[in-house]
Amino acid sequence: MNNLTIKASKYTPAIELNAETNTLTISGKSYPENTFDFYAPVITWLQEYFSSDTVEKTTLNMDIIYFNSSSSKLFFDLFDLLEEAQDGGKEITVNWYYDEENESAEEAGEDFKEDFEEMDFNIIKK
Amino acid sequence: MTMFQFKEMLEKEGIIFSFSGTISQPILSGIGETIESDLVAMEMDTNVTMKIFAVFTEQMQNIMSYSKERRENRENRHSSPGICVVGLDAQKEKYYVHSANIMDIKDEPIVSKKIDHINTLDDSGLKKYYKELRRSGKGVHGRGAGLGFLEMAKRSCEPLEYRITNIDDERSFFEIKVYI
Repeated sequence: MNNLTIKASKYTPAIELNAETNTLTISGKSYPENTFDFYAPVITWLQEYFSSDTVEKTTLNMDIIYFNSSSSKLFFDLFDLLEEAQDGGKEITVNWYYDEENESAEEAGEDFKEDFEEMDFNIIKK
Repeated sequence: MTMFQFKEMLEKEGIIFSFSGTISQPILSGIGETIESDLVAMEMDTNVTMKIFAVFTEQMQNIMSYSKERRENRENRHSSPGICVVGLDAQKEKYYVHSANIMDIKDEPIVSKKIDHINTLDDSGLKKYYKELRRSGKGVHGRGAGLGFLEMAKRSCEPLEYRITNIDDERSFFEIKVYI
């Protein structure tokens, strides 16, 4: 399947979903006004990606400096989708990166980790 | 009023930034970056800067999504008149983000109930409620997750201050002030 690349804007992150390396990367700021519309292609891509039998170990790298409340909901749904894939037998790792000075990014990562206890969810200081 | 008087009033209120006009996503992100770089230039702590930016964003996006005067320019792209100031309260020695917009009178009880409930919660209660609402998706609509006021409360050190002033049979003036 094709890879999905979306360039960063002032209020949306850079996204690179690579089906060859099985690496998903979302980095930057995320505070669009139409969050669910913006991420719809990402969700669709992931659903297709995980429906394939060949996919095995997948890594999601999240390096988000700031996100708004609707992005928070969207990320929750994204991790939920990954957890479902894991329940279906896929091997998944989530790496949540944060800057040492950015307490809210660290806390947000910890909160997500609590919600997805069954996942390999790493909080990593840059 | 002269601009000198206006400037004096801004100084008296400790206002660092003020805006009144049409708010849209590009304006929001431009202003947000300006405030951010101003605060960085003032050598403010990164975490305080991030909190101010976060509260500002939630307030602006609320105005864009819920103001009675909002316009849909393109599909799901809104703009709406609003007022916003960021300031430093000299007595409390705390920063605040204060904004206002015209609301539909029908939204009054919904908004009041929501904020009043949030104001009863302590830090752990806020976190719990936030996570519950995020998981259930009960507040989700086309443009958000119904988490905006909670997001503000999480970043604030005090209860959310709000005021609703009736204008006529259909409209009220809604203002919210959040101390960081």
